[in-house]
Amino acid sequence: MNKVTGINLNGNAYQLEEPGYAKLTAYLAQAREQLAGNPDQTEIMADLEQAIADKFQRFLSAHKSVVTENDVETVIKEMGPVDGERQENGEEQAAFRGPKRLYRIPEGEWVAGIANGVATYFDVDVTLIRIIFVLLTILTTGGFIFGYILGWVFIPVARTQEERAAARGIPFNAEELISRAKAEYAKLDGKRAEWNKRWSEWKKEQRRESRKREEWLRHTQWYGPRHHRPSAFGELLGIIVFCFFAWYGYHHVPVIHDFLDAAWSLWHRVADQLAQYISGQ
Amino acid sequence: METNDRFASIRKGLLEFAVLNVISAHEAYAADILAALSSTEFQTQEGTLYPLLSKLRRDGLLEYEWRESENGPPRKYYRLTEKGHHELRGAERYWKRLIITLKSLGTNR
Repeated sequence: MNKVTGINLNGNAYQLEEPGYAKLTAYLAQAREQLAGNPDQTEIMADLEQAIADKFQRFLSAHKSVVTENDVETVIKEMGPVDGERQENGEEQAAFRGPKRLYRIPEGEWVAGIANGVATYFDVDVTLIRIIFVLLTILTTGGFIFGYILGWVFIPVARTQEERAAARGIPFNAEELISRAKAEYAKLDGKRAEWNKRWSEWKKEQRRESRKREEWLRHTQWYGPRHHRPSAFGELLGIIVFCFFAWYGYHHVPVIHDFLDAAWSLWHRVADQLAQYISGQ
Repeated sequence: METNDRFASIRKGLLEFAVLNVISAHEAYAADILAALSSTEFQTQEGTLYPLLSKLRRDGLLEYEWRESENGPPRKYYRLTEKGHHELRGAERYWKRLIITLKSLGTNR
């Protein structure tokens, strides 16, 4: 059984199996990328979509209303790769980059995952971005925190695999997904092996120390590995930590005190202006 | 390398004249063109043809007209412009000259 997604191809509605949908999306994204800079890009894309729609028609009948993954593969093979003018610059074009967007990435975040997202966007180490963030905060005497909060509100979180691919600017398709999942699993495996090793060493040491401690160890073990906390809780924790720092800074750091006072009065002035504007209307 | 592979880039370069030839015979829409080419050395796919048609149109060699079809949405029917006819005749002359030149260079007939 496969989940089905409805799509609109140049004004034609079709139901596609989800893996097929992913492949078609990847194909069209690649076509659009190939045609980037072509003045007729929109028109050619519409023609291609129409051609795909015509081909899908062949696979549908009164008894079959869904285009399967296999059908999509066949159609994409028939269509062939889209020849852009860019391809003349050599075969390197095969290493196609997907659309790149800024997302907040919750994996390994400290506060809201913004540094993480920015680091992924520019493909640099997250520590570097964090250092820059801290420097910016100092240079702007706290003003950057305001920007950070704005980012928190306005930058979306990369939740789906597709969004994660877009955060990295790599193409999203089934093969890509599988290879990434494999790489992540291998990484996890490596970590697990290391962890197991450390764990057994530690256990040996404990055993040597005393039986009583081993009992205690078994007791803690009983609780099992800690699960990743849900992200809503993580965000709440982030806000609480931020509030604490803001409170602490307000009372003990003159710069933050001044900044918050200034922000507070700015807010009042804006609110007044707004109220005047609304009542004046 | 087979002869077939050696000529791959030449075929690619000649594809646009193959397409112009197909259209010069009679007005055609994309699927017609693909069908006409499918049994020849110039067999190609939508992914290649559509960008090529748009380029030829931008170069002013062909133009199209939307026409209703019996079943399904309207189709773009392509035909050669005056410039397209001219270009095609020029290409044919040039191609003949190339063959004569090639033959005159050797004795392997």
